[in-house]
Amino acid sequence: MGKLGHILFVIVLLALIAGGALAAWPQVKDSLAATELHEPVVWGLYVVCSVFCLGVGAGALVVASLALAHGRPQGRTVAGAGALVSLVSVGLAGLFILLDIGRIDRAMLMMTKARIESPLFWDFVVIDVLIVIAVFYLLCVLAGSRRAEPKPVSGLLRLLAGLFGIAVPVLYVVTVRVFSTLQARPDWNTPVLTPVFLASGMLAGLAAVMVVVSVSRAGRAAMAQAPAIWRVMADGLFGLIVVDTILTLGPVVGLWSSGGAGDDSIWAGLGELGLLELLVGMIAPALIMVMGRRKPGFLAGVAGLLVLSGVFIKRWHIIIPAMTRRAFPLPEASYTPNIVELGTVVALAAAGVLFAYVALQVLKKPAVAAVSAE
Amino acid sequence: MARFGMVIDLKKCLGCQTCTVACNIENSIQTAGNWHVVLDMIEGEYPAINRTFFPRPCQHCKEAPCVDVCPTGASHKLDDGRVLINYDDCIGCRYCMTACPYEVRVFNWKRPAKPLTENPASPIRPRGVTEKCTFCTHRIDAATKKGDPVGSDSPEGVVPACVQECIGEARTFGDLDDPDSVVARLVATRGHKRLLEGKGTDPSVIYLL
Repeated sequence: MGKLGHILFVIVLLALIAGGALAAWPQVKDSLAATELHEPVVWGLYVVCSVFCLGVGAGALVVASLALAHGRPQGRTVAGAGALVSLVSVGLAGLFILLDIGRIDRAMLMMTKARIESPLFWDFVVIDVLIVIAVFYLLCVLAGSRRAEPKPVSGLLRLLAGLFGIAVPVLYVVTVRVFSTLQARPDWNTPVLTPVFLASGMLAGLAAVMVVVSVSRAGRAAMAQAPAIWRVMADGLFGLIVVDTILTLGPVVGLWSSGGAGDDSIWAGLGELGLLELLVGMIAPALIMVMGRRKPGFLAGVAGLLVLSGVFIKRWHIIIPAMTRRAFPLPEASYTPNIVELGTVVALAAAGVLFAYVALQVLKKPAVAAVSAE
Repeated sequence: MARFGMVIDLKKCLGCQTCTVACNIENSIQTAGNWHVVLDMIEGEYPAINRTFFPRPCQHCKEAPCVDVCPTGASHKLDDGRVLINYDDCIGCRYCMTACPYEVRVFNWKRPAKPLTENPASPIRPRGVTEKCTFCTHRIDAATKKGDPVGSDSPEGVVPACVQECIGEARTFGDLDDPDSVVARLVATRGHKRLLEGKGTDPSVIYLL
C-alpha cells in the first residue's frame, strides 16, 4: 500500500466515523430511547459488541503473552500486534458498556459506590487489568525494539508473560462466570457457557492477531524470519476452531441424545444463526487454513476475518435469543438493531482501527512498526 | 423484624386489572411501563380449557437476584423484606432487569411524560433508571413513622394500593414471619405456591390455589 493508499485508508475510516457519528446523534439527544431496546430485550447490539470485544482483547493478550514467553526476538512482532489488538478491543468493550448505560453521567458511581458482588464491577476490573497489561507489553516491546539488533526477550519479561498468559484467561473467565450465574436466563445459566466463551475468546484473539500480522508487510517479513512462530499460530487457530466446534456442538449433540430434554434451549438446535456460525466461523476458516497455513497472507487474513465473524455470530446467538425468551405468557419479543445502534458501532469500530493505525505510525520504529498496515 | 409479603388468592382474582390501575395512579406510573401486570394464562385445549388470571407484582424475593447484580447498591433490600431502588444511585445498566426471572422491572427509556395522575408521595422517576413495584413503600414508611398499623390484620391497617382497591378481595398484605398475621394463617391453611420456586429466590408474594 503506497502513500495514496494510506491516505485513502484514513479517509475511509474518517468517513465511517463521521457517518456513524451522524447516525448515532439521536442517542446523544434521546439516550437509549433512540435505540430499538425495549422490555424484555434490554440488552442488544452494544452488549454483544462489548462481550465480543472483551473476548478478542483477552485472546489477543494471551497470544502476546505466549509470544513474549517464547522468547525469540521475532516474537516481539506478534506480541506488539497482540497488545495493540488487545488495547483497542478491550477499550472498545468498555466504551460499549458505557454507551449502554442509561445514566452515563452517573458512571462514576460504579467506583464510588462499587459493590464487588456485581458482575459489572468485575467487568470493569477485568477491562482495567487487561488494558494495563496491554500497555505494559507495548512499552516492553517498544523498549526492546529500540536496539539496532533486537535481542531475545529478557528472562524476567518471559516469566511475567508466562504468568500473565495464565492470569488473563482466568480473569476473562471471571466475567463469563458471573454472566453464567444469572438464574433468570436458563440459556446462560449453564456450565457450558464458560468453556464456550473461553475457547471462542481465545480463538477470536488469535484470529485478530493473525489478521494484523497478515496485512502488514513487516509482519509478514518477521514471520518469514521465524516461520516456526507462524506455524504455531496457524496450528493453534486450527486447533482452537476444532475445540470451539466441539464445545458448541457438544450441548447440541447431548440434548439430541437425551431424547429432546431441554429442546427449548438455544443450545438445543442449530437454527439459522447456528448454521451460519458453523459455516462462517468454523468450517470455512478451517478449510482455508489447511491451504494457507504456511505463511501469513491473504488466505490467512480471510480465515481470521471469518473466524471473527463466526465468533461475533456466536455472541449474538447466545445473548439475544436469551433476552427475547419470556418466562410467562406475554407477547413474543424480538429485536433488530436500528441505524442509531449500527452507526454507533461502526463509528466506534472505525475509531478503534484509526487509533491503532495512528499508534503504529507514531510508534513507527522497529518491532511495533513491524505490524503497521501496509 | 417483620417480613412483609402479599398473598393473592387466584380463585378470587377476577382479572379486572383494577390493581394495575390503582398501582399506576398511586405510584405516578406512566402508561408505558406498568409495575403490575395481570397475566391471562390459558392452559389446555378446547373444550378442556382452564383460564387463570395471574397478578404479577414484584415478588420482593428474600434472595433477590436483582440486588446481587446491582453495581452501585441502588437496588437494595430492607430488613423488612422490601426490595427497593434508590433512583439517585441507579446508573441504568439494566443488569437487574436481566437478572430478574419475573420480568417485573421496567426501564425509563424516555423522558418522563406526565402520568395519568401524579402522586406527590411517589414522584415520577427520571429517564435512564429502572423502577418497579415497591409494595407502595411510601405508604408503609408514612404509617410506620406515625405509628399506624401496617397490613391486613386490622381494618385500618395500611396496605399497598393494589390490595386496598382489589374488587374481589383477593389480596392480603402483612408480616409473613408473624404466625398470627392474616397472611401467615392463609399460607398455613391453604394450598399455595410461589412463582418459579426452582430459581431459589424465595419470593414474598404467595399465590393461594
